[in-house]
Amino acid sequence: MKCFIKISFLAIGLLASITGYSQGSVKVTATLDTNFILIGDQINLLLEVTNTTKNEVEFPLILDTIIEGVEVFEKSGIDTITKEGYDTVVYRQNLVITSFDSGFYAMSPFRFLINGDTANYAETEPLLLEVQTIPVKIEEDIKDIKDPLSVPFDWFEVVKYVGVGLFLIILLGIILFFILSKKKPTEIVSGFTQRKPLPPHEIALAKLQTLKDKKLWQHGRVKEYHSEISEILREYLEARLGFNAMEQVTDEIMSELETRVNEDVQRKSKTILQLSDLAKFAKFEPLPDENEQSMDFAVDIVNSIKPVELPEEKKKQE
Amino acid sequence: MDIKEINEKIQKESEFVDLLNLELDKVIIGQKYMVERLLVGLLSNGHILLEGVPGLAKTLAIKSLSDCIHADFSRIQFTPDLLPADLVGTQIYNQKTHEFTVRQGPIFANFVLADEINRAPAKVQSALLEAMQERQVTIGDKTFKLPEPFLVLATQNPIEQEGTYPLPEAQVDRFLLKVVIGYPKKEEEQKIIRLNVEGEFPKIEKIIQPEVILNARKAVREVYMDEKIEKYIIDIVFATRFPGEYKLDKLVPLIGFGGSPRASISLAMASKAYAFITRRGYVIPEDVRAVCYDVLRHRIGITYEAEAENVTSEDIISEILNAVEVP
Repeated sequence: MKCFIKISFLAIGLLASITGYSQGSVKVTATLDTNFILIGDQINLLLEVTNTTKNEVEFPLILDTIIEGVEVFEKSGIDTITKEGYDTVVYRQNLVITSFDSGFYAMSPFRFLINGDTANYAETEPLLLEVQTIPVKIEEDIKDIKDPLSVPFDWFEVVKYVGVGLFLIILLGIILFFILSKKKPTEIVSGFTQRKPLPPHEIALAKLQTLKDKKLWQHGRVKEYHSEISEILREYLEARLGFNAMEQVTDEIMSELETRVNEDVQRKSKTILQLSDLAKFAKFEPLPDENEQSMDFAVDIVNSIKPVELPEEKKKQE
Repeated sequence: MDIKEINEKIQKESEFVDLLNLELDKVIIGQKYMVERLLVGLLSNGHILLEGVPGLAKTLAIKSLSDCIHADFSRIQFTPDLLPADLVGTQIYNQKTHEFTVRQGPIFANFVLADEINRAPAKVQSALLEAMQERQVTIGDKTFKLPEPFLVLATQNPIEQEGTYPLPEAQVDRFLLKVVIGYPKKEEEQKIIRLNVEGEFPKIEKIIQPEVILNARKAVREVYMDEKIEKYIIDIVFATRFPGEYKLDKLVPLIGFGGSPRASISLAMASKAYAFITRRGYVIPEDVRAVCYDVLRHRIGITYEAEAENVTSEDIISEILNAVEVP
C-alpha cells in the first residue's frame, strides 16, 4: 500500500512539474528541474510567459521565500525573446530555490496580471516539491569527521600572482620615471651664471657701511644705531665662528670668544656689546666719540677675523 | 624718572644686600644660588618652593634669613594629619568670659617655612596657598591681614613620593620661583664638616629692619625695563606655549601646557629683583636668563612622551633659550 501511494505521488509530481495555463493568447508556465531534492539542494524554477498579443503581462512579485520552507536563493532578470516575425514575445525568469526542511511542499499557482488588471490574469499550475533528508544507517558505526582536503600545488597560480606583481612594479617604476624626469630643473639660459654667495665678512662690511651712511646717531637715533651695530656684529660672529651669537647674551658671547679670537678682538667686542646693551636697555646715550668708536671697532673685528685669502686663490679669482 | 636717578637710587637701596650676604655667609656655606633666589623672592614679594634632598640647608637658610631681619619666623612641618586650623588658627571658647577668642596660627609670621608641603592633604595646601595669594586669613567672621613682609618658603622632597599629595599645577603656579637645590662643592662640604665638628656656630645678628625690605621692594618696581626686554620675556613665555612658531617643532609633542600670563609677570618681576641685587637700575637679558629656569620650571607641563624620553622642563627651557633671539 505504501509503495502504491509513493508511485501515485511521483506520477502526479511528474505531470505537475511542467504546468501551465493559457488564457487567450497569453500562456504562462512554471517549471521545476525536478520534484525531488535532498535537503539543501538547489534547483531551478523557470517562469515563462508566451504572449502573442500586445497586452502587458506583469510577473508575480517573488521575494526571498516562495512559501514557508522554500527559499529563493538567486533570482535572474526577465529575459525577452521575440519569435515568429515579432508577433510572439516570450518572457523568462529563472529562480534558484532551495529548502532546508524535509517534507512535501505544494506551491500555489503563480499569478501573472494582464494590463495590471487584478481581475484579468493568467495562472500557472500548482507545483509539488519533495525534500528528503540523507538516509542514516543506524546499524553502522559512527564515523569520524573527514580531514580537510589538501589542495594540489598549482604552478600556474604562483606564476599568475608573481606575474601580476612584477607587472605592477614595472608599471609603478615607469610612472615614477616619467614624474621624476618631468621635475628635472630646466637648464639655465646660457649667458647667465649663478651668483656665488658673498662671504660673511663682505656682508657685514656692506651692512656696516650702510649703517654709517644712515647717520642714525647724528639724528638722535642712538638706541637704533647701537642695536644695529650689535646685531651686525652678532650675525657676523655667528656666520664666521659658528656659534649661536644671536640667541646669546653678552656674557655668553664673551665666553665663546675667549677660546676663538685674540685678546684685542675680545676687548673690542666687549666694548661694543656692553655699550650697545647700555644704549638698548638703560637709555644710555654714549658720547659721539664712543658712537664712532663702536663703528670703527666693528669694522676692525670683521677685518681681523675674516679668512685669509692665499695669493693663488686671489689670482684665480682675478 | 631719569635712568641715572634710578641707578643711584638702586645703588643706595641695595646696600643692605651685601650686608645680608655677609651675615648669611657666616652660617651657610656655599648655596649662593639658593641665597640669591631667596632674596629675589623676598624682593619680588613672591613665594618660593624649594626642592632638594634632605640635608641641603634649606631650613637653615630660611631660618638664617629671618634671623638677619627683625622679623618673626615660624616653621610648620606638614604631615598627613595636619588640619587647616593648625595652620591659620582657630576660635577657642573662653570659659571665664563665655566668649570665643581667636588664636592665630603659625602662618601669622613674616617668614613661614612650610616644610615638606606635599605631605599634607589638599585642604591644608589650599588653605596655605590661599593665604599666600590673598595675604589675609579669615577665622570665624574676622579677617586678619598677614604681616609685611610675608614670605612663604615651602620645601619639597623629590624622593619618597609614596603617601604624598603632589601640588596641583594651578597651586604650584602661585609660587614665584621653584628652586632646585644641588649638593655643595667639595671644598664647601669640607668647611661644613669643620664647622659642625667644632660645634661653635657663629651667631647671626639682626641687622635689617623690615622697613628696609619694604622700601627695597618699592625700588625693585622702579628698576627700568626696556620694551625690548619685555618683548624678550613674552617671546620666551610664548615659546613655551607655541614652540612651533619659534622653529621648535620637536618640542610640540613634549609640552602639555605652557606658561601662563602669571609666568610672564613673575619673570618680569624676578628679573627686576635680580637686577636690583646685582645693584643695577635696569634689566638686561642676562637677568631674564638668570631667573628663567626658576620661574618657568614649575609652569611648563610636560607630556607622558617627554617623561618617557626623560626630557625635563629644564631641558625644554634650555632649548627655548637657545632658540629665542636675544634683543
